[in-house]
Amino acid sequence: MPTHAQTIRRALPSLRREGARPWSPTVGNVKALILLAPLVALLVGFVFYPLVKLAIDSLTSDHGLRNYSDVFANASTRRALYTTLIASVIVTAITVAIGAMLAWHLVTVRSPAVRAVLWLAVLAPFWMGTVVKNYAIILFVSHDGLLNDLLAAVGIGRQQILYTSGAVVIGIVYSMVPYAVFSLYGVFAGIDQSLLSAAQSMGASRIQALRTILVPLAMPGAVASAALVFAISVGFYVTPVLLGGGQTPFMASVIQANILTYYDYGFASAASVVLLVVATAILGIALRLVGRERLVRAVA
Amino acid sequence: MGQLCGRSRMLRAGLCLAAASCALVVSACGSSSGGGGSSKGGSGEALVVGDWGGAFDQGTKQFYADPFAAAGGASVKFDDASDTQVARIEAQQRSHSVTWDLVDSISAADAYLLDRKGYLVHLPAAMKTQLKKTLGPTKVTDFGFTMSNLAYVIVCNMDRMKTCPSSIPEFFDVQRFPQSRALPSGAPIYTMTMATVAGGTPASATSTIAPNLPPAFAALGKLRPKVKAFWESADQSEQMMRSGEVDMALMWSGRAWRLKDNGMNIQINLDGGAYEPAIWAVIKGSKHVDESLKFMQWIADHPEAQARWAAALDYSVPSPKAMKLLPKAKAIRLADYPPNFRKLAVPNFQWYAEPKNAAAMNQQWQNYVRG
Repeated sequence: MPTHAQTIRRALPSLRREGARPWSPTVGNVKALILLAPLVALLVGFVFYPLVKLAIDSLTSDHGLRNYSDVFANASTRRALYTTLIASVIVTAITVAIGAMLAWHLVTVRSPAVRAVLWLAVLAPFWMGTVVKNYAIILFVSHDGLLNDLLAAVGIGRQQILYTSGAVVIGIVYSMVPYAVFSLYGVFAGIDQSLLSAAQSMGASRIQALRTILVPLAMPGAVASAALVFAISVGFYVTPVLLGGGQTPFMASVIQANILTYYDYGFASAASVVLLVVATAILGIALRLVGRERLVRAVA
Repeated sequence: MGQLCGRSRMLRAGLCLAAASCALVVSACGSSSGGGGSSKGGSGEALVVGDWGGAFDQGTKQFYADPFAAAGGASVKFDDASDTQVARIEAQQRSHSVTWDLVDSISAADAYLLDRKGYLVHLPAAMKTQLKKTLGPTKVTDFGFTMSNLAYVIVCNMDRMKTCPSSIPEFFDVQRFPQSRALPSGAPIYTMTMATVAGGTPASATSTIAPNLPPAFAALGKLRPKVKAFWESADQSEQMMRSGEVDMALMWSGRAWRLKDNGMNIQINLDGGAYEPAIWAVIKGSKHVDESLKFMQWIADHPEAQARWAAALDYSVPSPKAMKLLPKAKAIRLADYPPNFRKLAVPNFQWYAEPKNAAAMNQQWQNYVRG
C-alpha cells in the first residue's frame, strides 16, 4: 500500500510532463468576470433595477412630478426626514464612540476570558432577530422596566423613556454597535501598538500619545465606520415604530405607511428617492471631508 | 492537457454558479408572482384566498373551506398576506396577473377603496338580495359581506384608575380623566369616527353623514398631551397596556378581551367605539368567479359554521343565527352581538372611499400623530 506522500510524489512528474503551470493565486480577468457574474446579475436584478424603477415610478405614477412637491409640502414628512437625519447622526456619533472603545479593548486586552466576554457582548445583538432585540429594549426601558426600577431605587424617580426619541436612539445604537466594532477592529489591529509605547517613552502623556498617534491613524477607519453606521441607520423601520410609539417618525415608517395604509405609491416612491438622495449627499460630503485616499487606505 | 483541463473545470464551475444563480432569480420571481398559491385557472382547480395566516387561516380552513370542499365545492388554498392584502391586490391588478380568487376579511375601508378602483366583483343582484335576508342589510355591500368584525373599545387599567370612561366622549375628557392614553396610529377613519362622536355627532349617525372634521380634530387636539403613544400593530397595543406604559387605550375588542383572559385587571367599555367590519370579496380577474361566489354563499348559509369559527377565533361573524348559537359568554365579547352593535359608531365608508376626502383626512391625521 503506497502512502499518500508516495502517491503525490509519483503523480507530480506526470503533471509536470503535461506542462502544468505553477499555481498562482491571482485570477485572470475572464475567470474573475465569470466568477463574479452571478453576483453582478443579482446586483443588477435586485439593487440596480429596483432603484431605477423606483426613480421612474416616483416621476410617473399617481401624480407625476407633484409626488415630489407633495413630499416637501407635507409637514409631517419634512419632520420625519429631519428626525431621521438628526437621530441617525446622533446614533452614528454614539455608536462609533462605543464601537471604538470596544474594538480597542478587543485588540489590546490580554485575558482570553475577558476577550471572549467582549466578543459575546458585541456579537449578541447580531444573533437576535430585530423584533426580539427591540422587545428586549422595551422590557429594559419601560415604565416598570429594569432601568426605571434602578432610577426609582436611587431616588431619581421613574422617567418616561419608552416612546421617546431617546428610546429609538438606544435601540438603533444597540443594533449598530457590531457594525462599528467590526470595521474598527480591523483598523486598530493594523496599528502598531509599539508606536504608542515609543511616544510615551519619549515623554508624551497617555492622552498625548492617543491624540497624536492613535487618532490620526484610526481616523479614516472611524469615518468609514461612521459612514456605514449612518447609511444603515437612516433606513431603520421597526425600531422607530416599536420604541418610538409612532411619535418619532422615521422616513421608512412614512414610506411604509404610504404603501400599506394610505396606498399612495407615488408619494412613497418620491419619499424614498428623497431619503436616498439626501442620505447619499450627506455621506458624500462626509467622505469628501476625510479625503478619498485616506479612506481607501482605511478600507483596503 | 492538464492546463486545459484545469481551465475548463474552472469555466464549468463558473457557468454552474451562473446557472444556479439564474435559477435562483427565476424561482424567486416565480414564487413572488405566484404568491404561494397554485391556482392556474380552469375549472375544478383550487380557489386561492388572500388571507391573514396563522390561526386565522387554520380556522377558516377548518370551519369553512374543508366542509365546503366536502360538500362538493372546490378546494381552497390560502396565501398568507397578513395586512398587505390591498398592496398585493394592487400589484396583481397592475401587472395583469391575478392569482387570488378571493380576499378574506379586509378592512371595510380598504374594500371600498378597492371597489372604487374596480378591483372587486359585484355580487349578482339576486345573490345580494338573498344575502341581505340571511345576514341582515348592514352586513352586505355591493361586493361582499362582512366577517371577523371588530370594535374599537376603551380599555382601562383598573390598577391605575378608580373609574374608567364609560363612553367615547368621556375618553376624550382630559379634565375628568387625566390619565395617559394610547391611540391607534393607522387607519384614521376609525379613530376619526370616534373623534367625531367626541365632537358631538351621535354614534347612530356617523355612518350616513359626512364626518364633521373641525370639531373632531379640536377634540383630538385637547387629547394630544395625554396621548403617550400610538400603536402600529394590535400586539403593540396589548404590550402598551400590559407593561403599564399607558393607563388606558383605544384598542381592538378581541385584544382587549385577551388582556382580561390573561388576568389583567381591566375594564372594557364600547359605548361610542368604532365598528370595523371586514369584508369577504371576489377579486376581478379571477378565473373562478362562479365557484368563488358559491364559496361565499356557502359561508353565508351556514350559521353553525360561522358560530364555530367565531368561537375558535374570537372574531365576530355576520349571521344573526350564528350569534344565537354562540354561548352568551362568547357572544357578549363580539362586535355584532346586538346590544354591542347598537352602541357602536359605524364609519361612513362611502365618504372615505372618495379619494379627495381620504387624502384630506389622512393628511391631517398624519400631522396629528407625528406632532
